[in-house]
Amino acid sequence: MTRFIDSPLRHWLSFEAIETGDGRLYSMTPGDAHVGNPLIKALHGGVVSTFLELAALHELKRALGSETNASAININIDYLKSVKLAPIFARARIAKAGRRLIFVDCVAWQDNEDTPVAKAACSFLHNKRRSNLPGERPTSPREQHPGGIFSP
Amino acid sequence: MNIRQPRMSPSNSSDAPPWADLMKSFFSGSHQLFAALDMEPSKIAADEVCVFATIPAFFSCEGEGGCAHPGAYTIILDTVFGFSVFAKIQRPQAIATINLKTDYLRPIEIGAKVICSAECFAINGNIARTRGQIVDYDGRPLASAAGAFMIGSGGPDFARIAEGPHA
Repeated sequence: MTRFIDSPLRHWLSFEAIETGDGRLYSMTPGDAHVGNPLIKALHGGVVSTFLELAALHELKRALGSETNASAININIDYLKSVKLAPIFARARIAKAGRRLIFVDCVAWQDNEDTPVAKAACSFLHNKRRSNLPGERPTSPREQHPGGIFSP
Repeated sequence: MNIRQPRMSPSNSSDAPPWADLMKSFFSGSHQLFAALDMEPSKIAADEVCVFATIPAFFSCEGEGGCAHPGAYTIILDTVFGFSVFAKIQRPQAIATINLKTDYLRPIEIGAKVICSAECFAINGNIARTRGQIVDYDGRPLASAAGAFMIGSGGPDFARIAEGPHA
């Protein structure tokens, strides 16, 4: 299993990956912390997107090996219906795994796999070194101005 | 896409429209997700909405600290895009995200502060088009995105949401 499985993000999402006879099933058990619209208890679209992208990354590592280091290039997600505060499931499929680029499609549903609530297309860059993007280093809070540029 | 730096003002000007206070109440209320991201609006206008946010620890995908999962960008962008639609139509009406395309430009570490700016640049019938970006405090772009929203999606309007779930 990949290191992402035990990450804080996995715990925050209550993310699980289950092997089934029909491939791997990914699930998330949402709570109030994931709600975007509190009146109808609908999940935040960004949370659904994060769940699907995490599922895509796990599927990528499942297909290419857990040591595969890939970073997300972009994600294109369609919200097909409101996602309620209930367990959400997803399957991911490698659309194309090239030498450098990997494309993964995901579909999420709640009550019935035949009535999806969201679908996403994710693209990843296959890194040979441990970095999120080539030539880039992450923005760190330690690098920022001590008082911030908005300080009076 | 027109990349612009957000206005560097920590609060809205005194001539802010009345609906701006209603929108601000979202971020000062009891919304758990917005509170976790420490979201604070810096500008709310029809042409642009800017919000400060901090990447929370639970977005770490490497254990303690380290780089954040880019899903944090999507959550911030989807939120601010929604508010840019409200700011454009200037009336309480339910909206729903139709789709969202996010490009990840640079990784970010847990605890870093970011600025998200967004605009609703077109409304065709019930469809609102939005675009925006996230930059760090040095102005370096972290993510850019475009989204489409349905106006009048049938859910409760944002004025009721701002009043809270028990209103």
